[in-house]
Amino acid sequence: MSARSTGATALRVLWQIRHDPRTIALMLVVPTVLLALLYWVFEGKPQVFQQIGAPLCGLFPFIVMFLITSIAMLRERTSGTLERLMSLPIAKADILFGYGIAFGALAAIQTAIVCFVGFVALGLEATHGAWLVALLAIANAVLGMALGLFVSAFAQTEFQAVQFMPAFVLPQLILCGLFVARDEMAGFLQAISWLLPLTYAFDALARATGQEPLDSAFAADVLVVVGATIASLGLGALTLRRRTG
Amino acid sequence: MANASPVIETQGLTKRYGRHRGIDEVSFRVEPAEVFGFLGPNGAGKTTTIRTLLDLIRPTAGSARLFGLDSRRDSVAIRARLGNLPGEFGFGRGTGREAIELLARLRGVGRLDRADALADRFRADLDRPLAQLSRGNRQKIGLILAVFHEPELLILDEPTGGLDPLMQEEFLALVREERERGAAVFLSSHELDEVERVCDRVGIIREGRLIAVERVEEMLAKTQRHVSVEFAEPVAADALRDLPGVSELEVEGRRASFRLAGDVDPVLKAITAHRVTDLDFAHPTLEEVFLTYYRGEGDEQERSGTGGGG
Repeated sequence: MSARSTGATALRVLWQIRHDPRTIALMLVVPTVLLALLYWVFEGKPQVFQQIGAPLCGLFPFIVMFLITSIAMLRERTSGTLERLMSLPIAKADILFGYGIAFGALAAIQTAIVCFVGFVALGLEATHGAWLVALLAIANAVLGMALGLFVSAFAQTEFQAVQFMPAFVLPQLILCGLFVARDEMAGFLQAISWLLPLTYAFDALARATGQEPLDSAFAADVLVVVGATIASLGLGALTLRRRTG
Repeated sequence: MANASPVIETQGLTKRYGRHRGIDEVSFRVEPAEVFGFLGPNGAGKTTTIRTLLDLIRPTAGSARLFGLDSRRDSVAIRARLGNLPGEFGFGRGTGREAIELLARLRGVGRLDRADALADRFRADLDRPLAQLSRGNRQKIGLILAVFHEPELLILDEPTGGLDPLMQEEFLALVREERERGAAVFLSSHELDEVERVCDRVGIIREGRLIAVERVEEMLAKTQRHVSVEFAEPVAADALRDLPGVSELEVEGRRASFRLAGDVDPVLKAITAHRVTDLDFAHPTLEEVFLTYYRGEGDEQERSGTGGGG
């Protein structure tokens, strides 16, 4: 690994996205609009908005980065770009970290906007600080990126890659406790939810925006998210070679 | 040169995908400052071999060493010393200049004068997005990316694809200059003509098997060419029939056509004993080269192993 290669890879990814201002605009605007939509939907029920909206600020980057990475990586594979990069003197770790840094930076901007709108303009409460939500959001973004990178190896077309979003992300979103508390779910659903990384991401966010003091359960959540990210990056590294198509 | 350590050395390199495709027991060496042609039709396993050398895919069996280093364990160090032109490549949305700058950063090359000089020489358009360029113009950028850092080894996969004849000529000149500089070149091609003009030795691959490795002159000497001669006056067939290497002679009036293998000189001398009005010395096709080696294989029975493809 070298800082030079990682940096150059990250710059290239950002450079690519810079050429596509519409994608940047969508990334930055859509989560904010959705959050505002929730605000109006739950206008008479501020508790519900707090319960869903506050953690959602930290989950948006996960969803968006998963989607963007899985499609961007699929393109890199099918266009021969990834293979061209891999025939250069770069270690695989440099490529992966380069992507991580670039997408992490985008996630940071996205998070800053969503958190500002949510916690300042729309009056959401972050008991333990909006900065903590923002940090968790960036961690989730990197997790989403790592998962997206991994699953991109199994898509042959962009249509398939887009379908991975409902296939991989929606079940996690439904089971993570955002809509229905997990202890109210059927036992087998709870059991499944224990296996899904988004469950821990959500739990950490719920604790960060909830009233209880932060304890070891919060730390455990964060550790699981970080661990799942490292595991996904490892799987991503194993499948990086796959050419697809 | 015989004792210098080879730049590329593969031993029994094998890659199987399912039952068909892939390569089977490919072993060869590329020496320093040598242009090695890797000749075969599309789908013969040329790109698979190259991707194995670059550690983009892992061989099912066998091994490859580049610069004496293991292709798998030391792949990053190896790739730092070579330049590569893939058959197909992309760089997303950027321009040629951006691609060069990226590679320069990654390779730690500070000066871009060689890249600029090459761009001038090949009249490459560095300022338009790569995706908008025609295949030939994109190929020019690919060539610059492969050689601008003065690598010790060039691995070029069908490098002249899409280039117009003038640029092909310029490119072959560049390959010769790279050899002068001391670089080894591994060049895959399905065009005999190209290999003949620039390569020192050639490996002939078909259906994943390397069927021969030879000096280019030897390959040409073994290969049969089509010769067609028109004389000023009708010539007796006997005058040509008994010459060494001549077969399938057909004489029609003033025109004689035949296949010729081996030494050209005696036949030429015999022909020019008469007044010649037209002479056509056709290059053998790739298919004819293969036939030559398959025939040889059958006669000598020296290469046992899998029984061909069928």
